[in-house]
Amino acid sequence: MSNAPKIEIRGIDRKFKKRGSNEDFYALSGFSLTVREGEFVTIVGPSGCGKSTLLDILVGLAKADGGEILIDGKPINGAALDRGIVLQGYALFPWRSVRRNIEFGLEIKRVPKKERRDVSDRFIKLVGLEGFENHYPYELSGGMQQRVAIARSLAYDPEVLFMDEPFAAVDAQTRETMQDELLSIWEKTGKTVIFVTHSIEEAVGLADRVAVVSKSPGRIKEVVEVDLPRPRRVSQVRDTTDFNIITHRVWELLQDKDPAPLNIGGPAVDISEAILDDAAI
Amino acid sequence: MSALKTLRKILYAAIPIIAFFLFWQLGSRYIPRGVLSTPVKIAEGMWKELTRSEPERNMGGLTLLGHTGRSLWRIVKGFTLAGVVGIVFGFLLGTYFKPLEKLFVPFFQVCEKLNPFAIIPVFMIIFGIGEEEKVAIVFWASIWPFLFNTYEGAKRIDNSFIRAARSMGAGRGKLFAGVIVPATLPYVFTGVKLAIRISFFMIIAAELAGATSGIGWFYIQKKTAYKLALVYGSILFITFLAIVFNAAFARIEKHFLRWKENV
Repeated sequence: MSNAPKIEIRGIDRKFKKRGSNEDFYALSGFSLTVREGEFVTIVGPSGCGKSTLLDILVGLAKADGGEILIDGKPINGAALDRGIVLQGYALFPWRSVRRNIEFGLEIKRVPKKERRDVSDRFIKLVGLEGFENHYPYELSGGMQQRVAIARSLAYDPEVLFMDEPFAAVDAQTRETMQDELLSIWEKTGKTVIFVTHSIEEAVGLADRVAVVSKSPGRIKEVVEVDLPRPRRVSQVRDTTDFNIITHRVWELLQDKDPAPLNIGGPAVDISEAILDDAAI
Repeated sequence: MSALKTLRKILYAAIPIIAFFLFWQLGSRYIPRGVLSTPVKIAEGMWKELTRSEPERNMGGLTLLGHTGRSLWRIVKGFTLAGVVGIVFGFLLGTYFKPLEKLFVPFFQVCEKLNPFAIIPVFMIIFGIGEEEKVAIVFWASIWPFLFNTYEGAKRIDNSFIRAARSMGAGRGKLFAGVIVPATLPYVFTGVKLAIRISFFMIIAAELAGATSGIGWFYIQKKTAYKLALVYGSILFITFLAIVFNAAFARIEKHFLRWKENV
């Protein structure tokens, strides 16, 4: 990991018209974040904090109303193959086989057929889908579809990969496996990753740094360093004290609480009391 | 599906059809003469017509197969033309020409509601009785399913497909050929199947209303000559042709939509 800034997000604003009035509503306001080359940054925040809007702007699907985004010091202009995104809900093309889904970006890049095949072979192997090359998406499980989506965004070799809650739709077990697989793919490919999620554990488990975002308008509240060892597996760090401290810190930020020292072993809320209280009403 | 399962399915489907013809054959003896023909007589009569090598007198110089060819050729022309125009318009209205959509779609919806059978005499006046008129009738009636199904399909494309393609830098051409067309294809096929049915309805109607060749005309001639077996035979033959065409297109659909569940 070098220290050169790969992505510089500088004071991004994005406003929408409120329904039925002329008032503007700011989804993002003065959003700034710098990501180093090869870094894995997660963005965590409550729903409606503009996370998806931010990714749309980053990938070039939407325009910002203010601010600028630099990649390698150059401002971005629309969508391009230097950036890839794994969208919510996979968005695989159902009419294309696994292989042809993965080759879509390469076709846009006008890579010759023979070479496309070599690349798709490599990525099918990387995400562990050998034997499923010619299957159609409807024939795959959720986790497998997710793998195809990741392979599709990596195949055309973007320098930066954005991921919009990619594991939100898979079951808990698959999710854990996918997180570890993603880390292993990231280690092998060395991509710069910005990963959006609303799960604190996921955010901390995967990241070098966690950007905590506040709601309306969406802006960075704090960036939390995740000082957990690499190479890392989420399943292995999840039960460590360090992990829990960082997770708690992020949780506090999201709860809008001032950071307080951890109160370990303090008086716990008696659940039975709470229930009885409720019942009394 | 296994071969055995397919065979069983065909067998089940055939039972009521065979029973129907059997009932017809046996029951017709209780019907007054001159109303109903029997399946055996129909088969005999139609076989004679289908294997005839020289056209009969007063049959327009064509055998039954010749008339069938004339009708099918009219269908092919009208249907293909409707397909090309309808699908192109459907795509344009459903995707890139939003302002025109508001202008034209309601108008086309009214056009579609016009009873196509009622329009036949008008087309006769405009085009004169002949080939153009028949092709125009088939075209007019079958363009709507093409147009509206393509239009609906193009409009309903899941936005996430568009986003995924655009995020990979797809330009307009790739977006159209690589996403919009394949995503709309299932709807287009719905239109194709409807248009086939309608084409067969319309060509017969047009030929009944006024023609000098075609299966519809053959049918009218046999009715005038009171050849009962051939009157019923013509109806069955027309139905059979429509089924064959539908099955052929179902095959094509299956080939193109094999990526879909349950096709």
